[in-house]
Amino acid sequence: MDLEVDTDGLREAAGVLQATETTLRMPGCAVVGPTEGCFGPSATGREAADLLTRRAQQSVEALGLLAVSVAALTDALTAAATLFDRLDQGAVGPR
Amino acid sequence: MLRILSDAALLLGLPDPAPRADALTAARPEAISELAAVLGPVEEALSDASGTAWTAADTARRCWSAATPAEAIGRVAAGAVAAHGVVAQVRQVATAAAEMLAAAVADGAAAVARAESEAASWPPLVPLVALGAPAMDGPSTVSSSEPVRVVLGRLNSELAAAGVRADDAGAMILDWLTDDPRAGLDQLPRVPPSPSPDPANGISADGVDAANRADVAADLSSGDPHRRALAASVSAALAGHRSRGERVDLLAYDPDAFGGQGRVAIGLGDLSRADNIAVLTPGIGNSPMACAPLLDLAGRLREQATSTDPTAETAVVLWLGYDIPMSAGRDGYADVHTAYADVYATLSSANAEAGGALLADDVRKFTAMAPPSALVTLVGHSMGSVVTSQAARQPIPVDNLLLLGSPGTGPGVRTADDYPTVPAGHVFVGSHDGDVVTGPAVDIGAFLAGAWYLGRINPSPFGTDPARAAFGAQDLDLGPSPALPSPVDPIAEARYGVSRHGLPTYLEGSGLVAAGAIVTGRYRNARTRKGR
Repeated sequence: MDLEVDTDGLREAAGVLQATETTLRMPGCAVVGPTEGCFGPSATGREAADLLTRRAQQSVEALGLLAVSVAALTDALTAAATLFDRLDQGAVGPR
Repeated sequence: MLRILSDAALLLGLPDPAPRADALTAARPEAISELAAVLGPVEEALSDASGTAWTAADTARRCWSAATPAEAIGRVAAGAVAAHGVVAQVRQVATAAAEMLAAAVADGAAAVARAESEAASWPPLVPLVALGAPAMDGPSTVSSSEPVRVVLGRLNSELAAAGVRADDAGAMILDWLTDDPRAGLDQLPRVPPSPSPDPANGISADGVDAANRADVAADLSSGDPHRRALAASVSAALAGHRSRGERVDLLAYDPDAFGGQGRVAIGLGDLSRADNIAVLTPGIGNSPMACAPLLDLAGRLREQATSTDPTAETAVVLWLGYDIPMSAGRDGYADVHTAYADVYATLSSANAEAGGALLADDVRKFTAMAPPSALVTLVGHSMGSVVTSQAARQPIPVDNLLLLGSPGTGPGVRTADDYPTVPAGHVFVGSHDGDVVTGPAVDIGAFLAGAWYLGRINPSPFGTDPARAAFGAQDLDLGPSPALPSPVDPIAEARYGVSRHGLPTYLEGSGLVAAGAIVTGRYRNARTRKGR
C-alpha cells in the first residue's frame, strides 16, 4: 500500500503542536509556595502539607514534561514534512 | 487574656486550652488557598493543551496515512487529559481543605474570644481563689469557681472539636491525593527524536560492561606500558567496589582518547532498574589513570542517596569522559608540549564546551539503559560543573543539575532558565564560603593569564557565576565554614580557599545531605539560602 502524505497538513499539525507547547509553557513561572505547617503541628497536618506540596510540584513538572514531548513531536513532524518534500522533488518515494 | 484562662485551668486541674489554641493559630489556610490558586493556570493549560493536541492528532491522521505519528500525538493528548484530571482533583481538594481549615481556625478563635469575654466578667474572688489565696468565706469560694470550670470546659471542648476539623482537612488531603499527575505521562518520549537512530537503544549496561571489560583485560597484557597502567588503574577501581558487593559497570572505556588521557565512565548500582541516576563529573587535575578515589566519592554519593530513600535504587556514574585540563600530571605519558597545552586549557572553558557535547551524548546512552521514569541528576564539580552546564544546554533527559564549586556555567548560559529541559527550580548550586574557585579571583587570574600567554581577551572566561542570586538557581545552604585565616597572611588565606574547593569537601556534611536529597528527588531536604 502506498504511503499518503500531505506535507502542508503535517506542517499545519506541527503549528498546532507548537501552539500547544506555548500553552503548556505559559504557567511555567508557577511557583509552589511553602506549605510546611499549614495544617498545624499535628502528625496528620505535617503529612498532609508534605503530600500537598509534592503533588503541586508534580503538577507543575507534568506541564514541563508534556511541553518537552510536544516540542519533540513538533520537530519530528516538521523534519518529516521537509524530508517528504525533498523526496517528492527528487521524484522518488511516497507522494 | 488567654494567660488567665491557662493559669486558671492549671490551678483548677483542668486541661490547659493554650496548646490547642496555639495549634489552630499556627495553621495557615491562606497558604493552601494560594497553592490552589497556583494550580488554576496549570489545570487550564493542561485542558487547553489536550484539546489542541487532539486537533493536531486528527490533522496528522488525515495527512499521513501511517498510523504512528497520529498515535504518538494522541498519547501526548491522552497524557494531558490524565494529568489534567489529577491536577483538577488536587486543586479542588486543596480548595476544600483550605475552606475546612479556615472554618476550624475561625471556630477556635471564636471560642477563645467568647471565653476571654466571659473571663473579663469573673468576680475578683474567683481568680484569687484559683491562685490559692486564702478564702474569706469558704463556701462562696467553691461556688464562685464553678462558672470558671464551665467556661474552661466549654472552651476545651470547642477547641478540641475545631482541632478535629483541622485534622479532618489534612486527612482529606491524605485520602484523596493518591495519584501523581505525572503518572499518565510515563509513555511519553523523554528525548526529542534524533535524526539518526540512537546507537544506545537496545543496549544494556551488562552488554556494554562486558565489551569494555574485555578491552581492559586485553590492555592488561598490552605491550604499551601506558595502556597497561590505565587498564590496571581501571581494573583496580572496579575490583575495589565489586569486592564490597556493589554492582559495578564499566560504561565507557577508550584508552586512546584525548592523546592518551583516556576516557572512562563507571556506573555503581543497577542502571537497568534505577529509580534515580546521578552522573558525577569531576574537574581539573583528575584523570582516568587515578579513578579509584573518585569512584569512592561516587560511592559515597550513592550511599547517601540510598540512605535518603532506602526504597529506591540509585545508580551513580563517575564520568571521566572529557579532555580534563591538568590531567597530564597523572596521566604519566605527557611530553612537554602536551603538558603545557594541558595547563593552558585551565584558562578557558573550551575543553568544557567540547566535553559538554560528549557528556550529553553519554547521558542519552546511560538513560537509554535505564527505566524511562528514572530521575536523572547531573552533578559537576569545578571545571566538571562547566562541562555539566554545557551538556544541559542540549535537550537531554535530565531532571536536576547540581553545580558544585563552580567557576561558571560556560558560554550561552546566563541564567538558570537557559537550560531547555531542566527548570530553574531544579538547578542547584553548592558554593562554600571562601572557595577560591567560585570567587572573582579565578576569573581575573584566568583572564590575565589567558591574555598574557594565549592572547585571548575574555574577561569572563568561565561564564556566569551560578551562585549569584541573579542567576536564579537554588543556592544550597552548606552550613558554616571553618574560620577564615588571618587576613594578614595571604598564603594561609590562599591555602584555605583551595582547601574549601575540593570535591571531597563538597561531598560531606550538609553538602552530601543536600546532594543525596536532590538525587532522590527529596528536594525539601536540600536546604537553600539566598544567592550572593
